Amino acid sequence: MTQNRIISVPQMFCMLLISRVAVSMTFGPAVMRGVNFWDCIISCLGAYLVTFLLIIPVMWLCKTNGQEIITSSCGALGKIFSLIYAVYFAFVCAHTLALFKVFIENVMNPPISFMLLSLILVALTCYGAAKGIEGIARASSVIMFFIVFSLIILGFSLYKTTDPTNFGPFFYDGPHSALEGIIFFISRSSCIPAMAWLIPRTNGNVKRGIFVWNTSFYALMAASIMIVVGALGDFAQTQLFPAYSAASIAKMGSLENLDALYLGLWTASIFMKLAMFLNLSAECIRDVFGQKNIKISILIMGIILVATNATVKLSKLSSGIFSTNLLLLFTAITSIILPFLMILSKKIRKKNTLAKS
Amino acid sequence: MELKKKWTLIFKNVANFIFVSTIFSAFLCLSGCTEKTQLSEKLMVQGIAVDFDEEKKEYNVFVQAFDFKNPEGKEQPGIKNLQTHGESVGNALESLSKIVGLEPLYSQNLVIIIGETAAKLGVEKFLDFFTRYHEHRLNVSIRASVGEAGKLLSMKVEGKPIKAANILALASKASDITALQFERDLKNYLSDPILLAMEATPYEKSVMCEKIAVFSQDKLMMFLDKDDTIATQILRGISNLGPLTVVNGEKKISCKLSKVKTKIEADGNNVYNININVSLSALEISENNEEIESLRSEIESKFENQISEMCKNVIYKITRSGCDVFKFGKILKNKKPSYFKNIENDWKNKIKNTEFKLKVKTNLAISGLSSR
Amino acid sequence: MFNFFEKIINYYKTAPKHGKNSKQNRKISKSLNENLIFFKKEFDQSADLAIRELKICNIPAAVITVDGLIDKNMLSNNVLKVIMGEEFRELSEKDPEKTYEYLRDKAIAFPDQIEITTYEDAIILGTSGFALLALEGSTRMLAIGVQGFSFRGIAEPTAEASQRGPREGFVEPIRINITMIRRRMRNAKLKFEMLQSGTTSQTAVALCYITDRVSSEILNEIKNRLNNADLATITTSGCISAYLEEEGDLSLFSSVGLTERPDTVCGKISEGRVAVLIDGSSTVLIVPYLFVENFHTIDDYSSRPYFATLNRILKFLAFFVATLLPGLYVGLGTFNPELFPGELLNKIALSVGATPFSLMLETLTIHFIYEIMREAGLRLPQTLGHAVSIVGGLVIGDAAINSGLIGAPTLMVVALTAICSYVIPTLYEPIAILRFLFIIFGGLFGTWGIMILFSAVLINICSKSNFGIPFLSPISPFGAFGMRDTFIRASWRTLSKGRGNIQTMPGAETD
Repeated sequence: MTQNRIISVPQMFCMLLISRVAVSMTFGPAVMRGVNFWDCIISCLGAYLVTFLLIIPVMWLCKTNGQEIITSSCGALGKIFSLIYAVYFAFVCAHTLALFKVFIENVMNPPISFMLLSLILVALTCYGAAKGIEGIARASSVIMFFIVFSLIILGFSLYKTTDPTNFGPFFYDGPHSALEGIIFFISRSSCIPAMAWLIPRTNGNVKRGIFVWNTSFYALMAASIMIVVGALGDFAQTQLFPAYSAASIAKMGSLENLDALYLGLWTASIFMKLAMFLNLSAECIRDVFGQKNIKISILIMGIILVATNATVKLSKLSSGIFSTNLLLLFTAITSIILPFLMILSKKIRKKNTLAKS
Repeated sequence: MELKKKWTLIFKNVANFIFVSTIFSAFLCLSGCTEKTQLSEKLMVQGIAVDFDEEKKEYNVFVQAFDFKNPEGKEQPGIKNLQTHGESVGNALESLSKIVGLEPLYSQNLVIIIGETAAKLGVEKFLDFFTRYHEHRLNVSIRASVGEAGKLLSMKVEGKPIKAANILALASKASDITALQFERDLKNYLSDPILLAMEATPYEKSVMCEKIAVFSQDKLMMFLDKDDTIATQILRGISNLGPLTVVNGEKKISCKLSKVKTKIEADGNNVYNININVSLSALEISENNEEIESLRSEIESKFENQISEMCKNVIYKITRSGCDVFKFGKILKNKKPSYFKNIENDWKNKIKNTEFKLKVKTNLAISGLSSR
Repeated sequence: MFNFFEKIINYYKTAPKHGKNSKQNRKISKSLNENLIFFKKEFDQSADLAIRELKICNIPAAVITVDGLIDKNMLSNNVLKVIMGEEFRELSEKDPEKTYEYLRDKAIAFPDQIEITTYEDAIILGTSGFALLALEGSTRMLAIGVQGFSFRGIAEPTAEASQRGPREGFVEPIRINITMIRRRMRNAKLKFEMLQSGTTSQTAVALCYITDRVSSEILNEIKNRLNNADLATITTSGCISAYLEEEGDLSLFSSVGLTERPDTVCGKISEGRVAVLIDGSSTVLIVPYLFVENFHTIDDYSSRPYFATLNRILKFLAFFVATLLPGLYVGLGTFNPELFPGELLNKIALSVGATPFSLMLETLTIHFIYEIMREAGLRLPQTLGHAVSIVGGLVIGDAAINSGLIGAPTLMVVALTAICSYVIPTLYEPIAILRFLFIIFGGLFGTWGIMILFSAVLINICSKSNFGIPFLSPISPFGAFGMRDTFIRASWRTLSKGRGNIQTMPGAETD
């Protein structure tokens, strides 16, 4: 089954960058404990290089498959692979929603029922997902512009509060923190499997796109860590979401409370990420069951998402869904093992057909 | 077939009706319309003063808040001073709503004043309440008070209650310490925080803010006097400071200190180079200007000596008491991490033996009249 | 004007090709009586059907007209006087076909006369203001262009006023509108293609485009959609515009542009767009239409680029303010008051304290009142409209605040929103609806709700495309070339460089 190349490379990478930023901007004690943030700058460099290695299998697979869906050349086995990807993408959605829940309930604690809010969020993301990847990609590039713009504002406004003595020596407590950071960043690389499904629908120079995407993401992360550590110092270690705390002290002239900017853009990023993964998950399901319309799968996914989020308690959520090891395992399966299996399967099938002929 | 179509149509209409009425009733019932506490039903806290009652072993908290139900004219909200107490500050503040029937809103709080007794007992116990929840801004100013804090906040100046905004204006924004800055120093195991300290003027006519409270971790160690306060601020690189007067023989010269640039660098093991650059702008000169021009370098060196002396005194005073408010520990750690790792655990003792080389450079600017 | 009739002639020559509207044509009978009975029956003795029976060379003949659509003087002086004159009496020719040919080629000297052979064409031309000359024994009828009817004079368009631009606006008769465009485009490549729409009204619809600029794919798609339009009567341009949108598109935003200005139409068609003119409507439709075009006005191109750019930026800001401000005000005021600057919060709290309603209910109510007043002012005669503004501005505005029913900041927000929404009049409708939605989302879910809804609206706009052109182009998909006339308005020297056709927009799926 071939697909139309409907989105451009910059659009795809804007979408992937946003979905990474949405999750990574929440790094902090909520998701990684006992880690020295300053060493995470080194983690960014490490993870940057590792990401390039991780992309190789997916790129290889996409190159051999061209415009075809990656699982299409694996026969019946392909359906199982698609199902695994569908589950993984649904899991990423659940993870993102859980992150939203943790942030809202622990940091903001507004007098709104989270159930109602998540219902609205999922309902509207389902709408977004049903509108197709094209719309999500285009909307993401608009949001990307706002994110870059607001990060520049936040960076400038926090420059004054930065204390240079907060930038301590690297590896003061050993390489543990940096390694933890690398694992943290890599485990949340849900973009790589997503890329496997998106590249066949993308038009343009993917290699250059990957380079720009990876570089800009880790540069953005390193800059954010620098800003947060510079502004908050050791206080950052005590904050659940240090990036939010840093944003909350930012001010520009008489304009105070710039965290509203952070909150708004973060919510929009979460929205885009949920919409993209819901769409991808529904696409995978379409590949398994061969439906024509993905709207029903998106709706069912949305209902499952809200139901699991409502029924599972926050403590259980954080122990399971935020477990770096679990995420790392999933990422390894979907971005390394499955692509290799698919390449292998394709080679064997090719060999068999050659032998038969 | 026709019947089926008819039933489908009926079903669709009924479903649409149910959908619309559900949305409509949800809209009417949801919190935004009815249950949400409105702004005017909130107690908009403007200032908080925390004291510790040693006899009762409980915290006394004074709160100054806006009263929107009883405004001062059409434009200004009224001011309400409230007092509450509890085993913890959080406990005391939460009971406010039971006293006034309004839900406190801390986001607009301008200042938190910590009383002497509460500061001596340790501020970490209650500071958490002010930094944990997002509604308490990290930008809020924190001050210490000599004596009771509540007294300052509930003081009346010329018959009118003093406003938190007036108290805040007593110190420049540059020299003020925010909750974030305080926490940043507190949470770092090497450095110690300081706070601007306020006290009532003689006969309790008003409030002044000319002192600094030095903390050893979260406990108040001492108050610094006016000169030490200026020296501390110079050493911390606060750029705009008040006037300083030097005596040149029988004559006095007052200058405003501005553009203070302080650079502290580790030079060897627990030895620091401190370079201070200060711009002086002449405020009041009891000399003929012609003479002053010729005496410029002499005046500058007088100021340099005085600032140098003040800084030395305050560094000795603070470091010898085991406090590190000038971040010597962090600087040493950044410069010589391997050396510092060995003395890290003994830093509180090592700080007492800190050595430093101080260099002060001033630059005098004389403006205004050319002669008397 | 003559071209118009040529177009009509061409159209009728090619009429059977036009899909759905081409019916089984009935041939005109040889018997005049039969023909007259047909007309009387078809028009069901309608009061405006006028049949003048006469004899030409002793051959019974009739002139069929629709009263009110023809110029009676022209008919009697240039047609009737000639065919009833002396020379015809002396004409010895008795053969009706030859007489018809003599009349057609020699006697009646009209530039626009059409020979018709079917009843359907006869009805269409008759109702278009042609006089139909029928002869006993001839299977042909001669339609003579003697149109003449009164119509509203050309005036400045009220909805699209311009400071420096031309002051001509479209009027209702399609042929006048066509002339106005042709006068500005003296180019043989400018083509008007006539179609007919509406099974009952049989309204004339003209597609206007420049042949070497337009995309054939877009043009065919437009024709296809118009031919498949299942419309009985076309009263306004709105009837047609719905059929020019993508099928199943439920977006609040329209991807069909509307204009009353011939200069705007000329500008748009020179970029490869197609204008759809509808007889009886002074509004011309333009397709494909982009989101950013809502922020363009004709004055942008008359002013210096700096001021035009400032205006553009103001318009974009006004759009965001008009859509989001009331929602943000309610959302922040209700859920996140800490995000307001201190002094502002004090003012809001003071006003909320003095009013009996919640912030959301208050804002919603004022918006409802405002929309009602706007509608009332719009539909009433101008003199009464002023009275409504007085009642609205003074009584409701001032009295409501003084009596403490409504807070001044809320009224201020509503007023600012209203003014901002007037800056982009073409987007007024979606803005009004979105504003209510944002207030409700802001009041129920705070900042979160607003951002969630904003994202959904953004995806809605981004996923929308018409005729293969993304609606949000050139913002997303981004096109640096298109940016010169989006957020900024580059100078004419820059704008005139390179051809910016609509089909070359980034993300366009057409050639």
